[in-house]
Amino acid sequence: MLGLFRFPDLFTKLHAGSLLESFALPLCIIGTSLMQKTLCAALKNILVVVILLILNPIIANILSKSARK
Amino acid sequence: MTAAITILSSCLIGVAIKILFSRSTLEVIISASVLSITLVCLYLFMDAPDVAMTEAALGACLSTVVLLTIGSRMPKLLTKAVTPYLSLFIGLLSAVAVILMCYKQINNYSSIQKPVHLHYSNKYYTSNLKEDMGIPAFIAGILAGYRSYDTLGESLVILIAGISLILIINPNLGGGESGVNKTHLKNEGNNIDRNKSMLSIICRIIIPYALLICIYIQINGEVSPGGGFQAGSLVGSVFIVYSICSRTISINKKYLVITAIGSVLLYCFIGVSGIIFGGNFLNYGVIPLPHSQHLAIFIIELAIGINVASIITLIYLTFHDIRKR
Repeated sequence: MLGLFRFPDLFTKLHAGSLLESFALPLCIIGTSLMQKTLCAALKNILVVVILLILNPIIANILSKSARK
Repeated sequence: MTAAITILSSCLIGVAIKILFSRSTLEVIISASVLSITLVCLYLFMDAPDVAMTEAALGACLSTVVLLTIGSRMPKLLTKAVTPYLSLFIGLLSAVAVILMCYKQINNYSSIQKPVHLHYSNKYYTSNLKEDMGIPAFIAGILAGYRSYDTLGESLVILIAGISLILIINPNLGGGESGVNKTHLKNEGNNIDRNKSMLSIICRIIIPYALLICIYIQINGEVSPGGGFQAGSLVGSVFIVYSICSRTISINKKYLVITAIGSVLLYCFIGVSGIIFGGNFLNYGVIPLPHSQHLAIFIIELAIGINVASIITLIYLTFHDIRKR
């Protein structure tokens, strides 16, 4: 989170942000899924993790490719 | 819960100030998208999942994409500075003054003692909805049952908005001569842009599941949060994402207009069938079928969903075709 504000240019900021949202956030959501009472709610959280892991690297890739041009 | 609402509300104010003092129109558009995503979280905390779904589809997806499309058609628009600071600051100060003056009235918006919640119609709805309509969801029952005149008017307004937009921007469709108003996006065929190829592959995986969720929201509109407007706006957003990712889509806008008009006609047909069987307009209880209320509400939600989806796709495609002229 600190890297988003401290890093100098777009690519390093993108590195910090994508690390945040494709590594730290899924870990947090897996943690909340362990805290759920029912299996159904836990599986919903796992589904959110899967969607995040699919979408976030793609978004970071597209942002960096379009910034390189 | 209250702490979360307070934090999100202060985030809203911060993003709004950021919008006021941003340097270019591109920044304004992106900040507005952030604003509507914050609003989605706020609605979820306030127990309004219907409004949250609509805001996510319309505010965060559709308006951002349409504004960015217009901006990319006119590149000067995205880099132009847009800040008359003094007038903005005066407007901000006056808005803050108004909110400070009347915050005591809007403070406990969810209090049960408010006159809105004490009106007799609310008690009627909450106590009689189950036996009047035969469905458990209040919003669907009130929207498509008790207040179906209002909903008919709303779907007509959406239809008129789409048609007038297409008449202003792209009047060829109204001329009747050209049925070939197809939107062949550029780069048709095999030479997909390398930059977009990964995105299109991922969209091929995601989009069927998104459509499945839309169908779930549509069909379960009577028993859970959701319904026609939400499912329709989500379907429209999915179509927009698909037409951004894949370069080979071609939709004739005429068919979109025809489906929108057909759905409104379906709604009116349900209303008129109430007259045929001896009741009032839009009184479905008299139709001699088992669970006629439930069935009619289901068909009406379906009509609203088709209407909203086709009009949203129509709006995006209309703005997308500006460069072609």
